[in-house]
Amino acid sequence: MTKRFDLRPQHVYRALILLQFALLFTYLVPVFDASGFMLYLFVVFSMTLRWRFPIAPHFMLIDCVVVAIAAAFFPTNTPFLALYLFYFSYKNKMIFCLFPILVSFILATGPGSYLIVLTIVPGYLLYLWQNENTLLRKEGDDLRQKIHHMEQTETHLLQDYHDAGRISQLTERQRIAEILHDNLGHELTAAHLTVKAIGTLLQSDQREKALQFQQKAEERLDTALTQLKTAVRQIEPDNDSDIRRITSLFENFVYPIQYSQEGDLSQVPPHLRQLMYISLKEALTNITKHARPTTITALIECTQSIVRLVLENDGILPAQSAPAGNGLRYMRKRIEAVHGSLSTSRDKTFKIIVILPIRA
Amino acid sequence: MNLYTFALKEDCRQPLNILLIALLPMVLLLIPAHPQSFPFGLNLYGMVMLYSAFLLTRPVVEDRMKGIVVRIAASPISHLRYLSSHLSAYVTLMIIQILLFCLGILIVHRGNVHGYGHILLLYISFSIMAIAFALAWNTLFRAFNLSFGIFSGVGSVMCLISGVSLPPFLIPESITGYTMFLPTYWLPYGLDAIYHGEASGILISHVVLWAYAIIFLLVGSKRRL
Repeated sequence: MTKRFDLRPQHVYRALILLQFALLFTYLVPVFDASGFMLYLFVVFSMTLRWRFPIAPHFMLIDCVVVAIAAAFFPTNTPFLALYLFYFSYKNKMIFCLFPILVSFILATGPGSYLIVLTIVPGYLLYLWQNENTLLRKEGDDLRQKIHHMEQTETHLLQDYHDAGRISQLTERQRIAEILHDNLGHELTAAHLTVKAIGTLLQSDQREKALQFQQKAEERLDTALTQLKTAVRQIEPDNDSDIRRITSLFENFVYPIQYSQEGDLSQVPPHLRQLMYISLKEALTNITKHARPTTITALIECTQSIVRLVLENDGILPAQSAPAGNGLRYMRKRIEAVHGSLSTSRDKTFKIIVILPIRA
Repeated sequence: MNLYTFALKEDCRQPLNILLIALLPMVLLLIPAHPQSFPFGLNLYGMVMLYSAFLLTRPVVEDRMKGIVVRIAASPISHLRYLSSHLSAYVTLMIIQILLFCLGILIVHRGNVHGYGHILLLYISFSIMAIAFALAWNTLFRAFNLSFGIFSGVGSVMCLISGVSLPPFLIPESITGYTMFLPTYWLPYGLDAIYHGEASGILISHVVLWAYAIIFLLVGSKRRL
């Protein structure tokens, strides 16, 4: 990939410095004397030093004084001050410009010498350009930093989401274990001990007592079975309440929704029903935020292998042409985590389609 | 082995460098003496020094080409140490060459040359300038061959018009004003000043050569990865 050349103020600054050196060279040769040549070398050194190392602009005043002193003895060297004026104006040190301007006016040998002062103009224009460039670059950097922070937050949020899922799973397991222990453990232990006692009674030919114990054991096992059924009912997710939560989302929404459902929603695993609920809630929040719909249609299709949610509204606002926001991005990440897919289409209406596989 | 000795060995490993350092300058001693100036071989030696310096600085360019500079940047060796060790090694080799050449002058042109100390110092100043110039020149190019190809042309022209490879009296006066801006001009200028015993001329040539050396070092020392 070829690197595109990006013209920057410092490139123009360097080019103009070189141009000034070339002009000074052509100026110097006809009026040549040793002082001019030595001063030329000094100014080249002074500028190269600034190009090579970041030296504070006020140190340039020392160099400028040296040139001014040399120009005072050899006035033909006054044009060298143009370079310093250019430098100070580029660095926006206008107060420092006063010294070379003053010296130029004092030592001016002809009208051409006054032109030296004009080098302030390109210098200052370059400073303005440089300033604008710096601001733009800073804004770009800030934006990139913001995006980076947002991405980090997103990663943390998703991590928290997975952690929370894992914690709730462990809590649920513990609850199941407690229910089984509290409700079944006692009755089954008692039944187990009774059966053992029956064996002992039969060995010592106490048949009547053994029969009584057998009856007690049967009663305990019956109670245990009843308690097991109750426990399973407690543990099992409530399909009806999940479905009711989803339908109530549509019914209680600020805009009327034409809702239709195909297939049996109770076949969908509870964690997917929760994901459907979260996704629909997010999509409806987006509608309240970014659309003014007259018609909203919602469709939930359940088949043996997938669940398909389609939510469509016709209230796209003209200004809403921005790319997907965080809500939609998080939704996509959650859906993709269960191997599902999310797609959107934007035409006369805005349509959001979510597909969740029942058997991944 | 420190960087300095490494740079010395690296340069001495190439037979061309040995040839340039030890033998080629001796050929210049065979040029006969001139009645109103030093033997012309003394001027022409400036050209040999310029090309010697260029060839000696080759490892610095090659380090950049091969990406060794990047590895050095990642190591605890500073760029200043890397560059100063290499440059001092090159200066050492150049001083050896100058000493050999001056020894040759002493033997061959005993009656025609005076001010050996001044000549030696002037050559040393010029050689430092030549090394700095080669370093700065090489920063403009990525490949040594291209750099050397262009330099061989530019260097020859520089030496020709500044009185190094052509007797100064043959250079038209109209261009002497411009040639003063060439760093190579100041070697024949200095030699002429030594011949005529002009202390100010000798001093000026030293000052200018050092000024050029510093400017070229500033340009050439910029790290390019």
